[in-house]
Amino acid sequence: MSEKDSDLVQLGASDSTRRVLETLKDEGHIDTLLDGYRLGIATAIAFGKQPRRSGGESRKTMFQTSSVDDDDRSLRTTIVEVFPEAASWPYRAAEDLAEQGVGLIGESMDGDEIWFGDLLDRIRQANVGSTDAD
Amino acid sequence: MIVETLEMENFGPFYGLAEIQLGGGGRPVVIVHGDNMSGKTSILNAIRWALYGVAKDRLGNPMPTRQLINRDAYDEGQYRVSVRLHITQKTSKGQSKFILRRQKRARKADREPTSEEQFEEYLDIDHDGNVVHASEFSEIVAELLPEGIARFFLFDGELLDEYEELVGEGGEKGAAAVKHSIEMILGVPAVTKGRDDFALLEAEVAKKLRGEAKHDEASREATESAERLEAERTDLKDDLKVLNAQRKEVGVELASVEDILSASVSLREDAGALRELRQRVKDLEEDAATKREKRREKVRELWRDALAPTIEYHVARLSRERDATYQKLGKLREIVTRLAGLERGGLRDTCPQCGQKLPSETLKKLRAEQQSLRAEAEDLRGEADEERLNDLTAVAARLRDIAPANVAEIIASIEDDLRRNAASAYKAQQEIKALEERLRDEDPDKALLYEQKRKQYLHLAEELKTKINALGEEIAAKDREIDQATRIIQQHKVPALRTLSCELDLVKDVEKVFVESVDDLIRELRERVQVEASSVFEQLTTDETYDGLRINEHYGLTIVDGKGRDVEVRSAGAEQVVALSLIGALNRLAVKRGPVIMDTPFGRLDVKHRANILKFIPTLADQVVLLVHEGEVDRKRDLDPIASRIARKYEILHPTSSRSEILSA
Repeated sequence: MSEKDSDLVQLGASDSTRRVLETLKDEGHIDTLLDGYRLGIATAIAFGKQPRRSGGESRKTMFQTSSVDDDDRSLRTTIVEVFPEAASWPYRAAEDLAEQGVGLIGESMDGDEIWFGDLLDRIRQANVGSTDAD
Repeated sequence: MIVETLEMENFGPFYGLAEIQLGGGGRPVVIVHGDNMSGKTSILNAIRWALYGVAKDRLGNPMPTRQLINRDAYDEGQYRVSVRLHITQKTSKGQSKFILRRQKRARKADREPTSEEQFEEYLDIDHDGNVVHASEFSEIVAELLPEGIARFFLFDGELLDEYEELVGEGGEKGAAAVKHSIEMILGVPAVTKGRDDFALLEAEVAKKLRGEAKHDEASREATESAERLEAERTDLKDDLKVLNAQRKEVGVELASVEDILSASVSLREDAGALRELRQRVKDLEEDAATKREKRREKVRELWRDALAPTIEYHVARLSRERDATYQKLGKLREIVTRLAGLERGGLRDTCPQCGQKLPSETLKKLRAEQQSLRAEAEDLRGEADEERLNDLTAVAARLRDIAPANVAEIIASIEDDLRRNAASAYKAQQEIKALEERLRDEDPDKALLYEQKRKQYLHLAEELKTKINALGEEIAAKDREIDQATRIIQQHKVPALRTLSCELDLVKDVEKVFVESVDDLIRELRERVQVEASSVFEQLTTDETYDGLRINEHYGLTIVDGKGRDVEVRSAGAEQVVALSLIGALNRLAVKRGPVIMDTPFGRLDVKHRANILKFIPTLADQVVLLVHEGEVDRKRDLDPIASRIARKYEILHPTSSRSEILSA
């Protein structure tokens, strides 16, 4: 099995993602970088972003997968189900989704301020069509 | 006392010099007409300021000197204001003339004063052509018209408010000053002073008696006891003196702090507002910090809410897929059962039940059905997979387990609060900026410091009052004990002490008379006030069903109807008529006579009441100055009936917002 095929046990972030997370923490919007990272993964999934198996900026390790995804492996379950093609590399997918999601959060910032309520409203808006259609 | 002439320099709206003759040469009434904001109240204020050094704004607060100076004059760099009063006072020998002048000017004439301390006060007195030292100014004014009773002569809306407070619920405390002034104007202090003098005399004679009683063997024990008690009382009195001195000092300090604070009313207000705003910003920041902390705590689980719509979508999709698979499985089971039945029959040409031969057509149909079912089963076998059904159920359940944390609404609510908080903080910051700009050359902290000092002094004064009261009670107890010991000495009837003993009894009796007289006098004066006020009220009121006024122990007056019942509800106009009745009565009974100067006195009155009051006013005092506006008094209809009692009429013109002129009308 090549390195590309294997899944990750540690998750990382690019410098730009890390900067956004640190800003969020420094401005008192999140308690820990992990809180922002996890929210980033969820945000990307909610906005229908697709995980990329490779590419993008180089990333430096930040967390153990077990820290990001606790005992019930909710993120893994979600990724496997929402992205069947990533069923064999869910944490690699999670890392890429975090990159995309934290980027979206960074774009949502109004100066040093962020309104999570507005972000959630946009997520709901983005999902109205898909849920209605079903 | 008659104010003959009022001269003002740069006072209020009067730029430069302005003069007004108020003496009437036998006619008591002077009318000054002027529109609102033209300067009527400034005339009243000028007289009050010249006498007592205090001018009041619309809210009754003392005005700082800077606000007294005419605006144009101030802008031209004339940082000074003065008022001169020419006064005539009747005396037993005829009359005395006084010229009193109060001036305030900047310590450095060419520099704009930024605080009250940068103004200096000058007082001049001329008494019958002789210059009197400025230090006697207050004493002379107190002799002419004591400040304590001035409220009944220099009459403005504030007195009405105070009086209404007096008659209102719980007003006794709030209007204690009015009650005190009323008793002062009626001369009660003269009797209380007499009572106090005899108390002193009694103590002196008793002491002398005890001194003499030392030589008497039988009285020795009582004498020694009295001496011991007296020594203790002396100690207590010394303590009391110290406390009273401290209280006086605190009073002086408090007055000085209040002077500074009142002189910088706007500075104090601004400083107070600045302090409140800074505190508000601090509170808002603390509130925001608390809310942000709560939000951070909730944001930790927000990812679950973010995923919720996606999960909901996929759970719904999986459920649909599972239902379809389930249906297909059922269908497949039906087909398999049917095929098994067909195959058990072997599709032979005779019926397995009856043994009859099957028609070839029927046989053909069954074989066709078998073929079709086999094909259908083949198709379904790819999709109707039991394992897949179990998988779908399990995955949907796992996804359902990723339940939303339901923190999004809480976060949204916190963020609404944070937005409101930020808007309030921004507004407060803007106001702080504006205030800081306004206070740039001032020192708001100084006003705050004085405000703090004021609170400390007030607290200290209260503490001292409690201690003094307690000490007073202790001294009174000693007095009783000494009195008891003295009485024992008297009971021994020592011949050598007889004269002193008689003297002591006499002094005691006289003191008792004075003590009882104070209460009797107050009661009697109250009754006289009631009689006089009722008499004035009868002249003023237009309601014939009213019978008069009833006075209470705080000098509050109630209207009484023909059946002797109190009239509970009274209009603002009636309130004013009652107040004027009291003022009329007090002026009739006053131990001091003074000019009555009324600012806008008819504001609340209808035409009939106004006519009654105008008819009454010439009898109110030897000098009555009415400061009125057009809406209050009709020059012809209202003033013609009292034309023979009017000495002078003036008109205040108000050509610009910062200047007024007084013209003889």
